[in-house]
Amino acid sequence: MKARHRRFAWIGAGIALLGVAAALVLNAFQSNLVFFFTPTQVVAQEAPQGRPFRIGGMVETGSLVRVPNTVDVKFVVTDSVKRVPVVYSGLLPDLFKEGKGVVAQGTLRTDGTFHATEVLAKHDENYMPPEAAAAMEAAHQHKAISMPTLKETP
Amino acid sequence: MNLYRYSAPAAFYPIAGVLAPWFALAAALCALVGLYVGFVVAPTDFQQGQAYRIIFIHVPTAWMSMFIWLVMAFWSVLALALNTRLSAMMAQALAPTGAWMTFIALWTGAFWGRPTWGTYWAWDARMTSELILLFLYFGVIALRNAIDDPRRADRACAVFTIVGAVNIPIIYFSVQWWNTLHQGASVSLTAAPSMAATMLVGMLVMALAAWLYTIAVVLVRVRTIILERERGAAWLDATLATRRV
Amino acid sequence: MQFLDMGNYGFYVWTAYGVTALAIAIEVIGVRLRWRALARAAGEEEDAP
Repeated sequence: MKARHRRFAWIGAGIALLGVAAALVLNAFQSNLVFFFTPTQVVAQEAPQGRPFRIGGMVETGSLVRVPNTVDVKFVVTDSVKRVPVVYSGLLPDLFKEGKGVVAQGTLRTDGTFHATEVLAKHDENYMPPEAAAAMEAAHQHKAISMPTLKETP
Repeated sequence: MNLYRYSAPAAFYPIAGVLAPWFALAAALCALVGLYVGFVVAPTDFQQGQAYRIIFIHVPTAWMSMFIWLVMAFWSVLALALNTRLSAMMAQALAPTGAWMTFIALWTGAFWGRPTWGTYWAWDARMTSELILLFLYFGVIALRNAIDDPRRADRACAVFTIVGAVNIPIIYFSVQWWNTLHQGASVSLTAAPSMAATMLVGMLVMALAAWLYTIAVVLVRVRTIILERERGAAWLDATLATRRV
Repeated sequence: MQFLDMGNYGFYVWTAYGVTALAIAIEVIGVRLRWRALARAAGEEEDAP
């Protein structure tokens, strides 16, 4: 009986350890591993002040400006609520596109622009052939055009 | 049928020897079909081009890396609750394959991330927790080697494995719980897959190949563990003398 | 050649697949050799006395 009790004590200790480990890991992730902040958080000054952090969101369509004869680019990161202008000097990843996800590391200047030192493309989890993507895009635009007419009819 | 009969290493040793080659053959066939579907049938991707084809090994090995730990935890619970030797041996046999799967998932992820995201590595929650999983596999293997008495090592590794299982839901849900660079799941139990059919088929066949491969390798490894731990036992001498297995 | 090129991503795709193949080869050969050595040792022990 004694050996059995001791085994259960070990299992109990293991489960307690499990709880502590879970709490520690979750806490560590929560405080240190927030990979990026959204433009809404940045504008609300929830992002760390005075040290580099990452900003993530969509590259606003039509906002990308390349300075001729240099690798300098400007674009706007948006979460469709707030917008943060970003300036960057360097090569952009292949998947960097307007209307697609982006994560940029850098610092926020007092004038509200974000000076990026690294720009990463964040893509979504959809996989399909280009023809299917084109067809979906066409269907989406068709819907966008027909939506107002639908709304107007009572 | 008495399942306990097969839970004895003596009974399991020849069964594993008979089954292993068949699982290996099935794994090879599935891998061939999966690679054919993945590279010949499946089209290119609309945003990632050909780089997405790394998915056919990345996702199956990443799934296996998490699933193997859960299976180890299952055997560990059995080993602690029923005090069966074979359960602990199964958990022991799974660990190296789990470590290899985790390594492959991290490696292929790095070489997928560079052309798509623009970096080999980022300390985001998904990648960090998967790296922790690799260290947990190293940890359980090291713990096994650190304890001389196999029965004590069984118990210590079982507790370690059950505690370490907390990392698995963290890896899986990291992309939902935190902002990560890593994209969300394309295939889950709760939503329709967000992949074209041929891509999905290729990935699932490769996942099946990873399963079959894991079973085949683990069956052979459990035989080596039985040989190591039952050395000198009467049954083992009898088995080895009567048949070439 | 177009197949190997993988739309300019050949280096990344084939490095990923190559290292995977290498890892599997190391694991399979390693576990086979270890089993063979142990089985042989166990068989010899039996022959000895």
